Amino acid sequence: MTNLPKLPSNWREVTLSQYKELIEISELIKEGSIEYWIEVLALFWDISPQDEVFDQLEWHNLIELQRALGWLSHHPKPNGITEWDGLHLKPLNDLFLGEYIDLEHYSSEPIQNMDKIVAILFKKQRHNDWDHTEWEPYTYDLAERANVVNGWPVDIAWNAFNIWIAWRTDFMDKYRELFQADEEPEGEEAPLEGYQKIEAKKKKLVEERQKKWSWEHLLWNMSGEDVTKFNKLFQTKAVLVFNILSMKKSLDGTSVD
Amino acid sequence: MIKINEKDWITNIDEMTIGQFEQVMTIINKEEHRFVVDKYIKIFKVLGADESDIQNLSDDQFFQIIGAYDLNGSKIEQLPRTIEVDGYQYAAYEEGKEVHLGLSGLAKIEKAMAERDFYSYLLAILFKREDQTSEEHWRDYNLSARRKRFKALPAHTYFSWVQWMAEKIKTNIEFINDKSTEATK
Repeated sequence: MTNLPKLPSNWREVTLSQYKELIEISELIKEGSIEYWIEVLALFWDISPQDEVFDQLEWHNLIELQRALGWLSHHPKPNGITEWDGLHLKPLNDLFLGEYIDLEHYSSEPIQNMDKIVAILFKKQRHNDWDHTEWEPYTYDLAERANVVNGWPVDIAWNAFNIWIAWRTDFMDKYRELFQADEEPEGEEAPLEGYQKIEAKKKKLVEERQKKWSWEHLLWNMSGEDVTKFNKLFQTKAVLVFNILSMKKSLDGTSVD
Repeated sequence: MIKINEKDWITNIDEMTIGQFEQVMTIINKEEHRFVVDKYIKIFKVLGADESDIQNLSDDQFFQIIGAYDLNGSKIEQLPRTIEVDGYQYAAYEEGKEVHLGLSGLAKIEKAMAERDFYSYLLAILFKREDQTSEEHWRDYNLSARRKRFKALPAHTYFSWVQWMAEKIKTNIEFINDKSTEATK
């Protein structure tokens, strides 16, 4: 068959939005099956999987097309690109607490939220009168920025995403004691009875509630229970906040909640 | 066909409908039975025998019927191009042209292979009603209606399409292997 639309030849030619659809396709349909390949081709050719072209294409055409898309079996490689479309990757040690909290939130479903994660990490920058770099405040519409990022080549987004994941792993390791729940004293527990049982259940419920509201609880405590100070905290560097929390925990010898 | 105790026992694919044939193949290939005898009793029933027919069989007669089974049939050189059933005309390919099976059909066949009534499904994929568009042809409820209709067709005539499909799959696997060898040279 001739006159088939062009296929991408590497990850640079695949947008982040297409990449997310690819992941969805491979989760829904057995990878490698004919139905899977029809969905992939339809995605790249921007046509419906029910398009008549799939009635015309034969098996041997599919094999040729599969070979042309062989690079799909490998993830995008880190490319070191930290500037795209007039936006720059913000150094992660300069992340504000507000940005960090949102990044943590979106990292619970990383592939689905990759556009939002990258949209938080990439910002406009300018040089001030002292030739220092100033970063765009985190006040832009995240959904709008994520929409822009969805049209970027996936390898750009993937690179930034990997930098974030690596940094986050180091960060969590460094402040491990803040992320871990206090260890229970060792030793065999005697079976609880009566009032003790009720107290243990109550304690568990409190812990679960604190876990659910952990960021809000942390901010509430750090702001001295003054909600008007939240914005200031959001604009404080995450590294500084965690250093202070770490110090407090170390001095108190108790968990910071 | 074999006559035992005044009853005609179906033993040959030539005497079966597609519906019966695919049920027999499902019993043979996809069902587990504790005893082989149970498997054949089930096949006898699918092919029209009732409980009393089976009760009246001696051991020898039972094995005589099993020995007479022929599920392969003779190879048909010419693939039937059309089917007429319930007043509708279906065609597998255009007159004067070669058989063409596109990716949409292959994808459906790939999925259908795991199903019980594969043969009628295969025909429902291959045979298109002449007054329907391609989009209408692939609609699930149209596929399902064709499947039901085709079950009453003689198995042997259309079994050649199953053989053709098996051959096509084999050829294509060889093609893939050749391509892989080329790539490693």
